[in-house]
Amino acid sequence: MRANKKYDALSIFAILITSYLFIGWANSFEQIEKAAEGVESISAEFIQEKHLKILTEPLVSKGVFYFKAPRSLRWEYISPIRSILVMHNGNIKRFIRRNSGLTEDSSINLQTMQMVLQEITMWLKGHFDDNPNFTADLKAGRKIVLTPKEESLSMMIKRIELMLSSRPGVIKSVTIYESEDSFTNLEFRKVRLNSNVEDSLFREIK
Amino acid sequence: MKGIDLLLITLMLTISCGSLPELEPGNLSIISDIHERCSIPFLDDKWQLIHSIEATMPDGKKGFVVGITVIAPQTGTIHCVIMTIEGLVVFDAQYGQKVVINRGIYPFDSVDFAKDLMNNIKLVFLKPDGELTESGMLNNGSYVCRYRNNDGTVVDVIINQDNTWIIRHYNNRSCLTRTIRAYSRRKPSVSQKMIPGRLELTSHGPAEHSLVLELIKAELL
Repeated sequence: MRANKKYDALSIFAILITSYLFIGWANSFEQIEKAAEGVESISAEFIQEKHLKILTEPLVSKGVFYFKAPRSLRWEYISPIRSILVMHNGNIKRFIRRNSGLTEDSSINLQTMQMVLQEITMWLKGHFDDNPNFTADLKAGRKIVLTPKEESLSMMIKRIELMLSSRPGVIKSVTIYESEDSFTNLEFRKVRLNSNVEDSLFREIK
Repeated sequence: MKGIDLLLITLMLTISCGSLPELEPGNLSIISDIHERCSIPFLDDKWQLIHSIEATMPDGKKGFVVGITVIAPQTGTIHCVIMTIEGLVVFDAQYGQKVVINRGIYPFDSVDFAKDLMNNIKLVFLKPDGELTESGMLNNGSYVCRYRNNDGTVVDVIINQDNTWIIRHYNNRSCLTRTIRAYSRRKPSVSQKMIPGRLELTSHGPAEHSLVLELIKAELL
């Protein structure tokens, strides 16, 4: 009983110390960049909630993503629509899974997707303050607010809010505001840093 | 050469248009049943529908988006939002007395696109505006109701015996301009309104294109 108490106290102490250490990783853009320096690959599950005035409740999508430095990304929705977006070696493709199998989406806007890839790559590598498209503002509570620099972009996206995890190098959530009543929230979980992410994930679409 | 192509296309269009399919008049005892069944495709109450949409362009290329539609038959109003699978809203418009575009990102930003889209939604989900002038059966036993509008356009509502229905729109030269095929998951009944699980819309003409809508969610509001 006594041992348990001691263990609890130690645990709490350890948690507090660890929390302070982790809080410290996001005090400045330099610290964030340094923490993300060693990130070579990331994989995670995500839950996407689309909030719109027209919807009685948010539209929830679920999926997984894999990132491998320098510029490979697989962004895959499992539900409600099964789709796979792959960016690898400068090629961008999106496939939709129908009853008949995988169908390539040929309407994909390559220019937009290049920009999205650039953004995601920069975020995952911790580069926020040298972003050509957004002005970054680091707020209290490990929150980064990105505001479009160009008016043409701000017509589509008002701002993006990124919440950093207490775990160095990890983004906890992203909220993309098109307007105050139209926004998309992405929550990441089961984040794995520098695990073995095979190149075939970006080449072979199954 | 281009002139000959154009002539051939015009000739083909002329040949393919000009007369509506003949309807075999239904026997008097089933007329009321035909009329009742012809109302199956159309909504009576306010619904919110979410679809995945596959668009096939005239060149065969495909594009995918998500469509959210709120349809209120009582007021004749429609609110439609189109977004990418990733959730970026590319189109938001409302239809009441006229079409109002709240948001439109190229290529979804034109008034013509918005009007065409609203007309398609009306054609699929709202009872035709025109007068019911004929009803009967086709050779295969399907029930048909024919609605004629003041501008000479015609809408045929065809209810098949296999849980599917077809809506055909003809212009004022009796050319088939649009066909909608609806597939439901269970047998339709008049008393229990049902939203089709799959809709296929084909826009006919020289630049034929099609949309396939798969229902993700339907909610009675």
